[in-house]
Amino acid sequence: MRTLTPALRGDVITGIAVTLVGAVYYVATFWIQETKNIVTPATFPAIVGIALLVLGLFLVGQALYRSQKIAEVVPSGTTSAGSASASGGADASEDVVDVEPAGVVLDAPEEPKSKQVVLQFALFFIYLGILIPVGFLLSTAAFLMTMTSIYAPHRWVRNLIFSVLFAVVIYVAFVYGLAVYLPVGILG
Amino acid sequence: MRSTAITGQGRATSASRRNRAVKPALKVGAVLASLALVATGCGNKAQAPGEGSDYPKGPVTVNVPSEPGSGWDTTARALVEALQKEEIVSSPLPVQNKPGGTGCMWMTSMMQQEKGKDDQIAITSLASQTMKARGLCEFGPEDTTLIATMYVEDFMVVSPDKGDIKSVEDLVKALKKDPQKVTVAASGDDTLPFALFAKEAGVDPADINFVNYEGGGEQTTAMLNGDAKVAIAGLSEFRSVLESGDIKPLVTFAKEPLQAPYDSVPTAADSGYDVTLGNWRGVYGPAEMPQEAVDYWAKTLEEVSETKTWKDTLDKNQWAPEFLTGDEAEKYAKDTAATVEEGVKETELGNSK
Amino acid sequence: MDTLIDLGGGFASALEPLSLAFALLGVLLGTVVGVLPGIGPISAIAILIPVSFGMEPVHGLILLCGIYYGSMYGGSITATLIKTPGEVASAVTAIEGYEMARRGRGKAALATAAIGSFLAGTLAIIGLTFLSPVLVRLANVFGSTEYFLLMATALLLASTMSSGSRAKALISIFIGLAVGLVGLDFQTGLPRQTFGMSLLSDGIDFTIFAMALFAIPEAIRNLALGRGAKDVIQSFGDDKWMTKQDWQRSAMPWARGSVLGFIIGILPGVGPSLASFMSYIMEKRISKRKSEFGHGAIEGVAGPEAANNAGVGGAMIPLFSLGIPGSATTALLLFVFTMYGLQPGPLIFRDESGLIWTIIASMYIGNVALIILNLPLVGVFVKLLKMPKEILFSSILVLVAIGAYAIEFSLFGLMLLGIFGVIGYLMDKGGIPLAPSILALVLVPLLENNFRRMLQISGGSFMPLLTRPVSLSIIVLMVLGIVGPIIFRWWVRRRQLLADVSVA
Repeated sequence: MRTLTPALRGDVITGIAVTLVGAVYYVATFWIQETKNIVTPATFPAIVGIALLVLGLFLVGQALYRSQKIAEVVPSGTTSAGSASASGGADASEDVVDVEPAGVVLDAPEEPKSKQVVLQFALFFIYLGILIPVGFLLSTAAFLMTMTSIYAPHRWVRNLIFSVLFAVVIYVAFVYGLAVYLPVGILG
Repeated sequence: MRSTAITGQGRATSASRRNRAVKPALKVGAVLASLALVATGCGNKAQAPGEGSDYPKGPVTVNVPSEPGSGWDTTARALVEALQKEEIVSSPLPVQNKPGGTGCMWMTSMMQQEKGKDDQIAITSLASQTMKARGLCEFGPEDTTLIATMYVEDFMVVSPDKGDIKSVEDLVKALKKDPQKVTVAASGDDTLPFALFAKEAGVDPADINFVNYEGGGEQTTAMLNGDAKVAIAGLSEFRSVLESGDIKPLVTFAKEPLQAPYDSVPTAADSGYDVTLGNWRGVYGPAEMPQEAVDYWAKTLEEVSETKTWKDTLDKNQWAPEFLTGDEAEKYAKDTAATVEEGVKETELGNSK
Repeated sequence: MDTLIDLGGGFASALEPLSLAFALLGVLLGTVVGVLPGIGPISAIAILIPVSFGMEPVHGLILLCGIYYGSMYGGSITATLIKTPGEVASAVTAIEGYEMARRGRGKAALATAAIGSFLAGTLAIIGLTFLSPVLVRLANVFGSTEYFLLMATALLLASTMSSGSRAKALISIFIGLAVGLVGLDFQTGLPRQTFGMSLLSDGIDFTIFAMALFAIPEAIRNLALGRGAKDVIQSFGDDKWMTKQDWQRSAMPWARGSVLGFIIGILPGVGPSLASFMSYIMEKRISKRKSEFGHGAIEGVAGPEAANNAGVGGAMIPLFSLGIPGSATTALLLFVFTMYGLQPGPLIFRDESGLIWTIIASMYIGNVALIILNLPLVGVFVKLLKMPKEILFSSILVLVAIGAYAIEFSLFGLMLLGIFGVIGYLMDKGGIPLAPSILALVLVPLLENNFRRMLQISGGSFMPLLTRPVSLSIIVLMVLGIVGPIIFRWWVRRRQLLADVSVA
């Protein structure tokens, strides 16, 4: 087994995920009622599902093929392998001419730790979940307080003031200004 | 007894379909618009029409089971506008959009969650009957507390001025010769009356080459660019191009000849094809709506249907008045439901293999 | 000449002090409302329709036009500053605009957007004033075959929007198509890909999708980086006005965007959103600074913003002349006009000349009010970015949640937002560009409907693609567009080789 560079491993995972999505999407078209139109309601969804499936497989194949090439090239000591694997995003070999000169990438954004990302998403989902039952004001103030305090715990007074104020201002603006009634929840 | 149905018309479907592509923005808009209407509604001071009782005690929500800008939506807004401008209702009447499943989602709620309530009314039309007939919705307007029918928009078959089809006879001849060649631009279930017409004319409705468009504008373009040979939709969809003469009317499915300037357009029945179907719009309440509320709304809607504001609105939009309440409305809804069922069977709208 | 006299009459009624006040008020209200995520021009207009009914028609129309322009610009502000597009067109602005803002160029981005919108809007209204009768014919040569081809071309081009893997761009497009197909089938009304959930039968809202894909991953990433990490955004807030170079770089995109937007806008049903995407793609293709795209190229803001506003003007042509609304917003405007007793159609310029010229004059005035009001405020908006990051990004999460709530009013809508946020994050992590998905979601109904119409009309034959002159021309152009660059590249490379040889 050859080892994959991180970028290529990313492509393999992405490809597999896309393939699975395509497969599920394609299978879901079986439940679409058939009609006798020339192009049935299922035609487009089926094309899309299959296209995703194929593209996903292509991505996997491309990554494996490239890693093989790297494996062949590296021993011979050239540096091209480095550039090929430098970025998962730039592996558009079919368009080599278009690949921009390096150096313009002012700021490859720093990647956060996955654990942190999962935590932030979890908190966001909790907020989305309680928004209606608990009500906008309470859930928003609590959410903002949590988010800001994870980031800057020492400034909790500012966080608290901001959280409450923001929730109230937004609530007033939407409800009284726009007549969009945000959920009142347990305060109602 | 409790139902009066307002006659609405087929444009709801086409409009709601039309909005699908652009729906997101519209939806928000609708919501906001409805909410804003609440605000304006509060200003009215007028008394309820001569009722001793104090219904309605609070705001009554006028529900639109589709996006803003759709046929149902414009009906609701025009209606509320008239009710408030003429100071017929003193309570606020917030218009709220409850889109979902071509009106089915909200109709189901009105049958279940909102059952017995007196502060909810909603707009419905022929489209909801098609939904039921096609088995896509458990309930139809005839199952709800139909309060009134308000107006009908008559279906009309039109053809481009420069086309070969100049009359009903031409149309039938062309259909008999090669139905595949006579592309019929239609929006959603506007195909129904045309299918029934084809059957009457001795052409298998299954052979008709219906091409789906999102409303009159697209249909007009399709006729002008040659994609469609004829089109069927509510009269108002074609009004401007009819006036300019680019498009000619062939036949209507109205009960009686239309008003001028379309009085010379033959009805299908007069031409020997026994099809009468109009896209009506009506107002309904929740299942088991309290009698007091039903009576109030029947009376209120009757009152508004006689106002100048409402008549102007009908006129501007080429909607034909068809005000019925109580048993009459119910009978009307049942009759159209039967026609729709027959039409659905003939066209096997989307259910066939 | 008559046109000018009529237009003069329109201006006469639109230029009274009270009318001007309404124009400014409209722009202000529109901008404020448009800044809220999930609330685009359409909602802004819808909110104020009932208010305007109480007014004189002239004032009501002027107010609505002001609101329209204001809210469109409001959407560009959020797209630029917090990567939260409120509507389709500003999704494009979010790409380069936000990158500019990250680099401390927010002011320049907003300024080029405002000026471009103004110029394009004005040009488009001039076009509308004088070219309507000619251009409306364009709509009649475009049948379903041509529409299908146009949409397919647009999607193919969209795969070049992002730099990087073409395969991944295609995946992005197909993801957008997949999402766009969820819901009731337009032609038969049958549910598709809803996985048995009736809540999905209305399809997935564009705004939710765009907010989830753009705003959420960005906010979560920044929050997750935590205090210790070096700030991703280096110079938010530290800002300069448009430089001379910015002006130079914006000028041509404004002009190209205006023309392109106006033409695409005329095609009913396509409208301004496609115009802004196409302008972006065009700017990127012809730019000498391709490498800057995706990293804050001012052309990528100037062109699409101009195209968007010009597209709005273009969309008025089928609206006025045929009564065909080209977009959600124009559909709502159509309703407004009808309520004012205006019946759009071929005869409108003859029969309703008073009102129609007033509307057109109000559009000019709304456009002027937009720039008068917003240019000075650009600096104020950009100051928002000086907020501490944890506050900025957690507020964005709250705002998108409200946006989603104001669209669906349900837990389901909120969960969709969250789920697509996760999907957006994963796509981004996997190197799949996000913008093509969004375009695909917008275009899928047009693509599919016209494909099905084409085959329905032809009885299942693909021949119309080759037998219709306009369609054939598009195909020829497409082939040239694909083969041309290959030959060109080959030629360039050959010349370089020769040059190298001669140098050697």
